[in-house]
Amino acid sequence: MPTTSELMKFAAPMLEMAQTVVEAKGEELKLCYQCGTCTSVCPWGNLKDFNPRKLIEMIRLGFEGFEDDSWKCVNCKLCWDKCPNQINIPQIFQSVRSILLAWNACPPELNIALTSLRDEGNPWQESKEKRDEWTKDFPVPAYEQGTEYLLFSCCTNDYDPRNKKDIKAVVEILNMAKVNYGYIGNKEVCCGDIALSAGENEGYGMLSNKNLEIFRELAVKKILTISPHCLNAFKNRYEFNEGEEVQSSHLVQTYAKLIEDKVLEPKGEIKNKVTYHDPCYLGRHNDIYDEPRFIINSIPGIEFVEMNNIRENSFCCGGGGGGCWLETVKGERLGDLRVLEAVETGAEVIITACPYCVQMLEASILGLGIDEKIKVRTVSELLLSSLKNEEL
Amino acid sequence: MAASKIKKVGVFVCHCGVNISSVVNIEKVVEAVSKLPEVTVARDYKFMCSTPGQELIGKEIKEQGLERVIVAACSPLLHEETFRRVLVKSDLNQYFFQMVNIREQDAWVTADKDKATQKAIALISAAVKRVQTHEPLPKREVDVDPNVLVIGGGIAGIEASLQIADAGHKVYLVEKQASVGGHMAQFDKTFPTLDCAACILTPKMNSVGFHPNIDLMTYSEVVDISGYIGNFEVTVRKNPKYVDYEKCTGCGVCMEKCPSKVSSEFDEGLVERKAIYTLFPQAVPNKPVIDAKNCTYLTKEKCGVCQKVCEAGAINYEDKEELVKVKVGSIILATGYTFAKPDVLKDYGYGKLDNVLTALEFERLNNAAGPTDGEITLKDGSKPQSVAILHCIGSRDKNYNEYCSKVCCMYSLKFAHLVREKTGAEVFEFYIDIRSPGKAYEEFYTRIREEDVHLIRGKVAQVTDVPVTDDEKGKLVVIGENTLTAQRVRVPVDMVILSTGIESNKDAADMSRLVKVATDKDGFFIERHPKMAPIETASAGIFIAGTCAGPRDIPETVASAQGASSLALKLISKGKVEIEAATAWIVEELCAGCKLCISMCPYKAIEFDEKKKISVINEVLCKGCGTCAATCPSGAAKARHFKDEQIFDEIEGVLSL
Repeated sequence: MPTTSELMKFAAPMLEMAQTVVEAKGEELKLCYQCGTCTSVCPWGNLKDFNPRKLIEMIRLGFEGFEDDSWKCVNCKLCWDKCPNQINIPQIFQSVRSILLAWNACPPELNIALTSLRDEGNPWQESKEKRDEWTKDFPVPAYEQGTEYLLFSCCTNDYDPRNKKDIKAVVEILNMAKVNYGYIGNKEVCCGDIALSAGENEGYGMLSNKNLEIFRELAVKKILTISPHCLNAFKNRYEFNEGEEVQSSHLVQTYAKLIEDKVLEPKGEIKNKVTYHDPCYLGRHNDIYDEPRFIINSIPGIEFVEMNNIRENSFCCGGGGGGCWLETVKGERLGDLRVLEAVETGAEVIITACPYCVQMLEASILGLGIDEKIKVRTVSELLLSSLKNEEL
Repeated sequence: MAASKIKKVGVFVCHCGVNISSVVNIEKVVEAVSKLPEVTVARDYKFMCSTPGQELIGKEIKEQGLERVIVAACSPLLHEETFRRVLVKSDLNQYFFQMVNIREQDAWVTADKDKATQKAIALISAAVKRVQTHEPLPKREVDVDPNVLVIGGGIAGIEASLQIADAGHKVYLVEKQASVGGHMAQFDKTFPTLDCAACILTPKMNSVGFHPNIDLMTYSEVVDISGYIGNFEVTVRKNPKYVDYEKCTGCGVCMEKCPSKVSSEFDEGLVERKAIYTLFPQAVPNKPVIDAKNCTYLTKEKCGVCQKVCEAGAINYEDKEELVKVKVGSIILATGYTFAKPDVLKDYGYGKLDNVLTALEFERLNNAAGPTDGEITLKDGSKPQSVAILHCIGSRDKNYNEYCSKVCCMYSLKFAHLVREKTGAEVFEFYIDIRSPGKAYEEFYTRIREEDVHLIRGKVAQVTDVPVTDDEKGKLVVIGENTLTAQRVRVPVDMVILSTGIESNKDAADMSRLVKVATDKDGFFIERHPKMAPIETASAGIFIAGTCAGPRDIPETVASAQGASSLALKLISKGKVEIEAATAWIVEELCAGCKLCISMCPYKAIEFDEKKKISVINEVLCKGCGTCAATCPSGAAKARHFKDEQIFDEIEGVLSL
């Protein structure tokens, strides 16, 4: 027989929990006045009951029940941009995650990726020796001291068969344009973005230090990134020393400049109707919206249509913040929504500029069984097709 | 130290209730400063500014024969005058006093109690050293010009002008627009009583227009102010109206016949007006002006219709701007506000989607004298069946204005009532918090709920016309969260009203320079003290009324205007005013005649003596700010009460610990 107190249900504040989150860089949660803007704009809200506002309130008072949902945030930054109190909401979830990790309460599939990051320097459970395997039959100039750009490849491009196609396109274009760049192969480790957004601060510290060491050793001044996640890590996260002037940029910026300067002249017609998906880390996190559109519009014959949710209001693919590694049930995939939005414009190709977006959108296309209707290509792949006058 | 004989100092340390004493250890402070050789007596008291506190100081001055007095308490802005009066009463020159701020500059900003106590001792020690070389400065009094300048002809300026004029004094009322009335003239009903704005405003506008003591200058701007409390000289630019008001009868034929149409500012662009126009039919003065930018005759020398039809011959295309100089003893700033139009409006479809209105646009739409004669209609002329009112658009939002605009909750509730009353439409009101702390305001909020207005707690994130269901087709869809049920909601409606906030005028910075009254980070004028001197400013003789000091509703605006007028009348009735004695002077032998001080002086108090080739300070104009003394490269400019030796003594005092 239960006691009466066992039957009575109530929530009691557990302020120690809240304080722990505050101390783990989550202090901005104090500013929330519960207006619900975040919940209204959060892409998850379209698919399921996910309520950042309510979670913040629960965390603030230490009410139980926020734990599982805290892994959902894909760090798309829409809520942060719209928040009237300018609260970095993704950071709050990151803080919570760091605490949950310390309690070993991490979703198992993400844990596998985090372990791989620590052991192999990549999240894909691949050997660190095999990173540069794709260059065996595809020569890429090595970075030496004095080379202008370090091409930072990104684990996904180095290991995933689909994304290897993209990095090969990058190499071909850079070679055509005679850009002075180089690749550091197996010396590269993951930029650490996923570790950081998963709250794995220690792992992030280790990875970022490794990369920083190499950058310093090779006196790197300019980094060219393919993944906006790497770009964001270098530009907004890495703690470079004062006086270390390392400029990081994304490939689309380089391409746009090369096209503007007429170094690259895309002449081959691409007779496709395409749309462009803004990666959150390229757009909202780093304000790069115009360059990819400029590149698309410079391709002869192409028909470019925009979706409803673009640029500052772009809709996430679901791959950020560790989302790429989390299992999501059918019907609850952000990528599905985005792909369908693209299909509704009548586009046959989604152009994007992020390896995670490629993965997530292609997975959704397969899942929805519409691979006959629409496909995903990167800006590099699109540009190369035109430069080589090949079909996209 | 420069002084030959040590002057007897009394130090009085205030607890300020617990404001100071909860952080600063008063006992230790008194003990430490007692030991200073200059200090004859050191006392503490709970409230030094109170009558017993003041009496305590007076008693010690008499009994101990004190020659210098120091009070360690709050900011001198608050109580320097109070304590100076104690000295005067005790037959000591008021400049033998020094105030040490151990509240705002110590207790309130220092967490560590030991450090706060040390700091208090250091600051008092500095003052103890400094007062040794204080010199007696004479009391200076000037006559007060009984005329008053009021800048801005909205309800604040109107009210202030009438109070002063009715008391029998001359008022120059300067209004930038072609008519007085301000924003209030744009409203129809006012909350919470729902009395019509016109019924309570237009009689006052009329009084201002015809009052024998009011010189109303519309279409005019203040371009220069010099002088000081009691004696300001103001230059007003009367912009060309191109209509001779002596001849014009206000018949309105010119406006009827004028062929040039432009969007009406008064009607928020909902309708057009002519190039020759009055702001609105009840304008005061009810005579037109020609908008030179849009008049075909003035821009291209074609047309001339208004001149042809004017039987009174009042149209004068040759009209030129005119500069008028007036002398006044005090100035009331009543420059008002603008409705914010933040970038975030575009997230709500404003400018792109039909029937998304700002609050002011809705005010015009609802106004009996507005473009629809007060009918609330959609763009196609039909009546809305559902309306959403969105609170806090650009207010309480760090991306736009962080502050609460104070009036929006109440006017939004008023809108809800008007929509219900006039159209019967369903009203969805999205709010974050309802703020109704005014007389009969909460009751009005209750009434709105009784009227079946649907209140949803949550801020709207977006308004879209992209439907996801059949019900949404052809509608505006409002997307937000009902935070009380934790559900995302999409509400299809016919009309959206965006409750935009109050913002300082775009030219607030220019006005601030002109009147030498600082503005806060949001561009609102800063009061001398937020609680105890909310109408005075740091510039003596300049008062603030209404929304130029921050968001206010009509009752508060009128109250502050009456307050400002009573302060102006106080000056007039006293007839004389004491002015700062701690002025600057130039040591003639040291002045190299570089004129740097002249260019820096914010009060235009320094002139150049061409004969002697040196700068000369006009002591009547000098406010003793010390800018010249700090600027002068040769040390010729000296500031009384802030002499170098006094500053060095002060530094020595701080460092002596």
